[in-house]
Amino acid sequence: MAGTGKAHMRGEEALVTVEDLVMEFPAGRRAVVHAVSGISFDILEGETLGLVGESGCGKSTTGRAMMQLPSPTAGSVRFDGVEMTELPKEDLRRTRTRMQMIFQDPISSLNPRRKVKDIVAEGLSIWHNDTGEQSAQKVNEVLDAVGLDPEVVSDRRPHQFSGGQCQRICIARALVLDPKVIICDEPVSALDVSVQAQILNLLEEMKERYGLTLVFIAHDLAVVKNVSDRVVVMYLGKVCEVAGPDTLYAHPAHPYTDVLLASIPEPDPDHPVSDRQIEGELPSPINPPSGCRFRTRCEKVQDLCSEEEPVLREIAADHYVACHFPNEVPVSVNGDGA
Amino acid sequence: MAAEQPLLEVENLRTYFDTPRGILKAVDGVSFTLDKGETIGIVGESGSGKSVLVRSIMNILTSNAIIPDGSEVYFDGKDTRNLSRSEAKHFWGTQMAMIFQDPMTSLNPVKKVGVQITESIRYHLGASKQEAMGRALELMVQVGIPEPRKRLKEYPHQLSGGMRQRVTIAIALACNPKLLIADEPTTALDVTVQKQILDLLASLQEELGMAMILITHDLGVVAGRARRIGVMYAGKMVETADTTTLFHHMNHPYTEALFKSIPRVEHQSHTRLDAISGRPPDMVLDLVGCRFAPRCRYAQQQCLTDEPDLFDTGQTGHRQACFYPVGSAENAEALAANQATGITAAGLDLTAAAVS
Repeated sequence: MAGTGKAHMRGEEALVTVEDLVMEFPAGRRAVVHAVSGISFDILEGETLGLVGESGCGKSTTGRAMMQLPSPTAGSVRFDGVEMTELPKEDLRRTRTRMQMIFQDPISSLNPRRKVKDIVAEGLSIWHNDTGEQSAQKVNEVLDAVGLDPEVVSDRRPHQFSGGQCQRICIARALVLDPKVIICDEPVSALDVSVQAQILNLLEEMKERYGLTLVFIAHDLAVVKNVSDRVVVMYLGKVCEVAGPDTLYAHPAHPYTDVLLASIPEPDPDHPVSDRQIEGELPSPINPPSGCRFRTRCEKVQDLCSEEEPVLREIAADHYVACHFPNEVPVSVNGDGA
Repeated sequence: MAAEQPLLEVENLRTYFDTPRGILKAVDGVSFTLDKGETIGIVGESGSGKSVLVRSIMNILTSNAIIPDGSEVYFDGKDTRNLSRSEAKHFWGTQMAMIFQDPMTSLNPVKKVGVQITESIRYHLGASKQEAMGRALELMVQVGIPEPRKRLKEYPHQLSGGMRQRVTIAIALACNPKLLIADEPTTALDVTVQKQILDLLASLQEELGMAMILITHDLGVVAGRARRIGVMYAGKMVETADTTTLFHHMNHPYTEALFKSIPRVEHQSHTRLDAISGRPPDMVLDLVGCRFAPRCRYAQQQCLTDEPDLFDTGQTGHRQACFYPVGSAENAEALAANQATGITAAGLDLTAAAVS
């Protein structure tokens, strides 16, 4: 369970590069919450990176740290050649327009007292000296793109919409400034399955249409598999495994990935409910276990796991794992679904 | 089992709410039975009326609820609707208990866990404080809470989401109810914790022999857990069957659509999902015809004017309410006809890249 280790990094060509990101929060009485402890990953332009893990694994914190909300305790976030952590405040604001975020609860992330058109136009009114007409046109365009009829919705307020529609408004708001990267923090976990499918399809369409690069944070592996080009599995502030979605799901190498996969409820009565279950509770991030952080709940645990922290290493083509005793995976892996 | 009287009989249950906008028909004629020790899963989208259905069964509706005559709920042969408030107080907990979606809001934040578990034991069973604490400790062990003695003295905010849900389960089980109603018990939880909680419920059910109603919007959750499944849409039951039959012979287009919208791990990444376009109808309106017709790929003229009733499909226990059931010749014809014109009788555009 290392975050140390950068075997999976792809160097210069990446659009966003996160290196040795550390995020710590004071927890009183000199205690420190180790939310994210030195993780690294990179995202190529046009790629969707999935960040998966349980609550408390630091995936949302990572997403926010990329936006400098707040700035990480240590480490670097490079976006399009610019080091975000060192930018002066004004430049940071300017750079951040090209990196937008969508949150889990769409209803509470919209101001209930404002009209939809004002919510969506806010970014424009802050940044541009567009005439009212130009910005109204842009707002209509993005509303239309996310599948809402501008004529109908513009003058309504968020409470008049369902959760799925509110999420569409949030997506429109994120799109209005023509961002390069959108960080989606559990965008569908508050939605019904049927609406979830609509939003996932919409994100894929928007990615295509606007040439976006996405970071998709979620705890549901089936959802992440559906949208991602590359998946990073996190546990307690560290990276466990990095691979393409189809490889990861066909040949999980890390015991934690294994358990996560076994937990997905299969909509198939003939598929026996797996008897694998993750034991116990997530350890406290104030005092994380030594060595491999997953060792307290791992069924393969050995002495080595508590003594030495495993480092991410390549076990097959574009498949990286941070575990001393990973599952066997076939070395020649077919390329991930094109 | 068939000869025995079912534990719960719901007959043409209707629950309406008097709202400023008009009468909202949240549940509109639902019937089903549940045997002792059986699990039924009730599946549907938000707003399909599944939560109101179980609240009606338990008789814990808000004061603006109207239950028209003809709606009947028999539990163990008794009509629950005629219970007085004081009778109901002894009925809840000992006969029927419920766990809710959000464990944080269903626990009292300013009372210790132990006090919350022992409350019903002392009230219903008249146990002394000490006896009740002993029982609470047993329950905590039973629901798999580590360090139960210490946890009894803690407050809900000191526990994780999964632990809190375990506590609400312990509270629900405290007086050995005959029926446990779980209203989206895992929706607020992580996948791994969801599995723990579902496994726990299954094992407890077997151990204690209680019946269970498991409500969820995820067909995946009920597939491995319930013996029978009822699919609800807009206040109506549209299809009921035992679990295997339902998954192998889905008859109702809504069931099929729900199933297809689930992202599956077996599928290649970037597989386009078959989302259900549109949204459920406004239940304040007078709805004519099949309620799913506006979102249905197979909708024909008949669907807009006639309301289909639940009828037997010929397979035992499998009932569905569609004129053009999936898998039938009529269904194939209906789809072909709609595809030829590119639009269904209800005006749903089949050619559009269904964004909305």
